[in-house]
Amino acid sequence: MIEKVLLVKYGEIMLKGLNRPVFEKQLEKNIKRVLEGKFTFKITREHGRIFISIKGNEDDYEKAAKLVSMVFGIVSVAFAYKTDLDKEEALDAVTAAAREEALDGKKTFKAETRRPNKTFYHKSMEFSAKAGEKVLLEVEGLTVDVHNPDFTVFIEVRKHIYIYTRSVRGGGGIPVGSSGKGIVLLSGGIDSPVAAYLMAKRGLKLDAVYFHSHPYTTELAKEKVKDLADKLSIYCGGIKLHVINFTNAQMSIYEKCPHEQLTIIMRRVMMRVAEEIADSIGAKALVTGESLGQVASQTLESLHVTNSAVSKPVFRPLVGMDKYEVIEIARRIETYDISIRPYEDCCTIFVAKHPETKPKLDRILESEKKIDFEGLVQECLLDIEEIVL
Amino acid sequence: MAEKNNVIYLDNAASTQPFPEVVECMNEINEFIYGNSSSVHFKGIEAHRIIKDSTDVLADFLNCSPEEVIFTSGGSESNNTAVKGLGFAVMGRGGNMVTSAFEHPTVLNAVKSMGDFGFEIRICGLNEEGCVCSDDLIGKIDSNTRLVSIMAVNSETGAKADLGEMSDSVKGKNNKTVFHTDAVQAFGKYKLDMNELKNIDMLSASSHKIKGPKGVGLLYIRKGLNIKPLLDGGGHQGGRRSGTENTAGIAGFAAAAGIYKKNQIEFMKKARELNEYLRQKLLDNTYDIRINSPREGSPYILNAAFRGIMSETLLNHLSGLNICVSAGSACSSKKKSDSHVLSAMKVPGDYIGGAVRISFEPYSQKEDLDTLVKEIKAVLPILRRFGKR
Repeated sequence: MIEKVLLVKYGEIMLKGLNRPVFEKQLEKNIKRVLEGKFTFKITREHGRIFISIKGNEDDYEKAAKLVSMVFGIVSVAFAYKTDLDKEEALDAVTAAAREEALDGKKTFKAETRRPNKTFYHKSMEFSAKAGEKVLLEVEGLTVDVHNPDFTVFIEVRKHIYIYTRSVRGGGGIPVGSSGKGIVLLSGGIDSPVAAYLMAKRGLKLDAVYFHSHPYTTELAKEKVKDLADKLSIYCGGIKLHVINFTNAQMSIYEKCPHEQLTIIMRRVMMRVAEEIADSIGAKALVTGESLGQVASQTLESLHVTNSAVSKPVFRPLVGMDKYEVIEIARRIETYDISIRPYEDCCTIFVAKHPETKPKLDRILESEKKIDFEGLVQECLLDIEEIVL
Repeated sequence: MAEKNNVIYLDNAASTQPFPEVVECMNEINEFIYGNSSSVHFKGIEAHRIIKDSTDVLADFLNCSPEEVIFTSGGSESNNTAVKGLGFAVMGRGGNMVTSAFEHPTVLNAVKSMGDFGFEIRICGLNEEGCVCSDDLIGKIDSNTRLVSIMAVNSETGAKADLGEMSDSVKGKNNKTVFHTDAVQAFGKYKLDMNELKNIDMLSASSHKIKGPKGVGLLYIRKGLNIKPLLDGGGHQGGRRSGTENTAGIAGFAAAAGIYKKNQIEFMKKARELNEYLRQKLLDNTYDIRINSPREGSPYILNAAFRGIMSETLLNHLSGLNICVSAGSACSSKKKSDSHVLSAMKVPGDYIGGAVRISFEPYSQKEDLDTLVKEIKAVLPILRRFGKR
């Protein structure tokens, strides 16, 4: 029987030796999550491949493939025909696949067989030749070109035989959740969502923290961060957003500390609050969208001072990127248009005209004696709104 | 979805809550009178009759003939139709169009865009009460002036133009000039008798500013004046505005207008009381405040500016307490720049950023104004302490 399936290839996790089953399970779980509620589907696994059959038409397969391809850990998603371990049936499927390509205007092809299942009688080369022969005989207008074909018919002989010509590229990386948990500080700008995306790509399961200063920041800014988290949840396998009421902390700093140190002290409080939340959920890293030298608070001196507030590792995947590189990714993952909505993340009135660009830790610590630093952190932890996206 | 408890809605110049009678009448029409008013079968005739009756009510309100009224999707479309429709009709002859800094962006931008079609654009200034300078206006009119468009009641301050006198002087200078007025904030609230206001050729009105539904408005076009339609199509409304008529919306509009007409004097008295009350109460309870609304203006709008705060912060704070007011006019309040009307009025720099517009409807409550003032009084010192350094 010939049926349609999505054939999912995953790359790097193949290398992870004894941990492989754990990674595979996580990947399967993440795939399920993006399809659940949208499609009726069945997932099966076979050495190095995941197969998804879906109840629905061509269009449903296209939509499902797009969603699945966004899951990290996947190299590609192919639109495949699945047949029994039967030569004639497989060749029929090869013909069907080739015919679709010919209708699409393609002129030249080749066939390529992989045969992990050695119980199948025909050898790979031999079967490729048979497939080519059959296509030449049955589909008009196609010729063979083994060096530079318009398309390739891939044939994989496993418990079943899978035939495909077309696939979409996956997100790469490793499955979210297989590298532990982290906390991303989400501001509403362009950078932090990209940072979250990149760390999720390396398998980190993320919660997000957003600092809200009502009434100095509008509700719309919070909505914007929610929308960003919602967008990220596709890549992150769901995300929990912790909204911190930050007004009091901000006001205390504003009133008592030197104005040019406001931003840096504020960021230190934020990092500490994020670290506390990390502890409460068992997360072992913080993630920020900082890029070296981008603004005053992201000079090496500033990063050093901010970093000193916490003891957990702080991941800054954008540290060596230019703004345009970040924007390129933001556009691709569709967070850019949300990020550029014109609401301020931390109201401008709390930003000095000439913030310090080379803060010294001892002087910052001196200033922080004027506020109850740890007290402010603990106060922030008392007023948190949690939103699951 | 239900209304939150204890909502204090004082942003009625932006939009109003429809009268219960309006909602009821519309529900019934949406459910049963679904025919297309252009159809010749009885369902079409049913709809046609409702539109005809509604037109009569609105024409009666303006003391004009029903043929002089066309329905649009609202104030913006009415204004665009008036300006561009006239412009396209006389384009071959060129000439100039005159408007003021007082206008709503729909008129201002529609007029400016006619600059691309060969018209010279002339914009007259305001005096310190925020009213159009008559001398400046008349000075800008010459034998080539095709259109003058002046707002009846300004949406930010409530300042009122003397339309009768203004249109008379315009026609005195050039009787071929077409006079349009954007009466969105005046219609329903003031008597607008087109038989008396002989020199007004076009007038725009909107339904949702007088407790009618959104998505419907009208444009009065004096008999004999030909303008080009913006929307061509099946020739509805005498070919002046194609598109199936919004039966329920038009009926809701007429129902709301009917209630305003019946209670016009009483409503006006009520609005005056509210305005006077709030004006005095604000002056008594706060300091460093400047009332930008002229006493002779529309009592439905009160614009007040507080020195040294950002109105956005105040709005966010009030919104958190379920109190809705707006900054400047709602259409501009998401933009960062200062109000063009207040700038034209030369409101001092440390006040202009702190301007708030409070706007009433006939059923606004005095107790709600007490709460508003109490909350503003309580938060002002804090907002000022944390103002920009």
